[in-house]
Formats: sequence, structure tokens, C-alpha cells
Amino acid sequence: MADPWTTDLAALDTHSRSGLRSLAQARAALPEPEPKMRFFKAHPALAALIVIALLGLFTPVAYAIVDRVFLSVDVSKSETEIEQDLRDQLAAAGHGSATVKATKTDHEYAIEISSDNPDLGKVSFQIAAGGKTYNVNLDIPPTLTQDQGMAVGEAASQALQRPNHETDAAVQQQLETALRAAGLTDFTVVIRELEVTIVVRK
Amino acid sequence: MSFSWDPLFELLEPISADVQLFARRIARSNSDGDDLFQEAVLRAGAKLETLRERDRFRSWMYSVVVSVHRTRCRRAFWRRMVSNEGVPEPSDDTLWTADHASARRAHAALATLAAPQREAIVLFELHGYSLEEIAEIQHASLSSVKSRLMRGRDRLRRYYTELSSSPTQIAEEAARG
Repeated sequence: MADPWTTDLAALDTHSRSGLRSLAQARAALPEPEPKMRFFKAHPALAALIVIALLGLFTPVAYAIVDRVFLSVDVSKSETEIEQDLRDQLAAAGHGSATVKATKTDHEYAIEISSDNPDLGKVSFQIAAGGKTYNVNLDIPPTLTQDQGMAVGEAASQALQRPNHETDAAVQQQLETALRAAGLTDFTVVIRELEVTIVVRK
Repeated sequence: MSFSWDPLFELLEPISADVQLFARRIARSNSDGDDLFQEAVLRAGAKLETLRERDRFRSWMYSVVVSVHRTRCRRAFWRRMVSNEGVPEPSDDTLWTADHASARRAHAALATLAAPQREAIVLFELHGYSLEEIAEIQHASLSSVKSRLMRGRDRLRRYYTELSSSPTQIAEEAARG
């Protein structure tokens, strides 16, 4: 014996098919894409983002090995506070000319540091977010283009926000693929649970 | 990297009608279902990067609809709690004409189920999905899906039993939501 709702569900089946909207209509009702959507914006679980952009053209001759710059970032602070905090830290490390831009949207932060000083390529970040402390070590040679510098920063961001089920090796492989896609040929990526190190040689 | 809807719509094109039908059937009316579908497409665009295997896009997209559906159900709950008003009447007028009495009754009956039960019943009865496929879509265990189907059917049976004993009252309750 059929269930009492069988006839009604069949009617619902028919009724729901009437006047279906085309996919083109659905698409037309969507908002225009944002002109630029950074890779990491699609990751809602993101705790912190780092973008290192080295502006200007440098000559390798001018490159001098100096002490690594250590920066700490507290993402619970406001954009303005983070910017000022990082400026102070950079100035204390002898990089007073560096510019810092922090952007905060919901749980996402983008931190962009620009400098025409090639020594700033060796930076270690200690990022406090969500009750955890992440360590990001970047070595970027002054010969990188801005896009390549961005790619390194995005790779570090990707490592920070990886899903829990992904292994270190899997994430490392993804990052290496991304860096190669950015035109980098000689680099080292080391990933541990809360730490990512990216050393780019060329 | 500039954002584009193209990758999503390329994947969505072959299954969009089925997904839209699913949205309509678990919503309170066709127009509510269209809104649900639209919101799901929007969310899918933002989350597409999390799709690991393109072969699983169908179940992934259904899962997005399920997720948006649950969110909308919670919103409706809180709206009722805050405003002390009933659930809004379906905005799809055609649903309430005499010609669609049977479909209206199905919508009203399904509306008495919890969202996970409603989704499971629609996926199983109208879309022909297997228990395993429903479990994947709902991110639930097989036993949970079985339980949802069983409890959902029990609830539907009670609804129709009460309807046959007091059709006027039940119809009025259904119309009020």
C-alpha cells in the first residue's frame, strides 16, 4: 500500500518544475565580481594573512646580509594599531622607511609591507591569532618582482590556513607548485604544524 | 588574481535544474526555493576553491544548498523569536490556488519536518538518491540518514492521519505555517 503522501509528493514534483529559472537568469542576478580577489579571501577559516611586497628595482650588489628582522603581529588589534605597531618594530630594526598596510575583513587580515631596502627580505613573523602563535620565516632575495613577492606571502598564508586534515607534506607540495607557477626556480619550503619557512634563492 | 563566476557555472550548468528543483522542494514555495538556490550559488562561488575533486561537484553543490537551507531555517526561527510573528506566508501565489492543492499539501506536510529530515525525504523520494549519497550531501552518517528518513516518514504519516481526521484545522495550521 502506497504511503498517503505519495500522490502529493508527485504533485510537488510536477509543480516544482514549472517556471524554472534558467542558469543565465541566476547568473544575471549575481553581483559583479570584485575587480581583485586575493587568493586567500576565499578561505573563511583564515587567521592571519601576510603579503610581503618588495617595491622597486634592486641590484644584487647592493644586497647585504644583515640580521633577520623579527616582527610580532597581534591580529586582535585594529588595522591602525597593527600598522603602527609594525612600523615601530620595523623602525627599531632600522627599516623606518618601510610602509605598512593592514587590512581587516571579518576574520581575515592582509598585512602588506613594502620597502626599497633589500635587507627587509629576511623577516620572521610571530603571529598571535585564535589563541595560537604562528611563526612565519621568509627569506626573499631583492631580485624578486612584486608579483613573486606576493606569491611567497600568499604561499605562507595558505600554509597558515590549511585545513586540519591536510598533512605537512601535502601543504608543502601545494606551496612548491604555487611558487614554481610564480616563476621561482630555487627555493626551500619547510612546514611544521604552526611554523612555515620559505627561503627563495632565485 | 581576478574573481570569475565562469568556473562555477561551467560545473553548475549540467546539474543546475536538479539543484534548483531540490531547493524549491525543501523550501516553502517555488519562489522561496529560487531565493535559496540563488543564495547557494553565491555561497558556492565564494567557496569553490575548497572543492577538492571536480568529480564530486554534484554532491558538493547539494551540500551547499543544504547548508544555506539550514542557515535560512535558523534565521526564520530567530525572526519568529524576536518579532513574535509567525513564519511569513509563501510569496509564491500560484502555490495556493486550488489547482495546486496537492502540491500545497506536500509543502505543508514537509514543512512540519525538521530541516535535515525534509532534505533527506526530498533527496530520497523525489531525487532518487541513495542513502550513501544523502549521507555525503548532509555530511552525516548512514545511520543518521536512516533515522532521519524513518522519523520523517513517521511525522508525515501522523500529519496525514491528523489531516484525514480534521482536514479543516490542519489546512489552516499549514497555511499559518
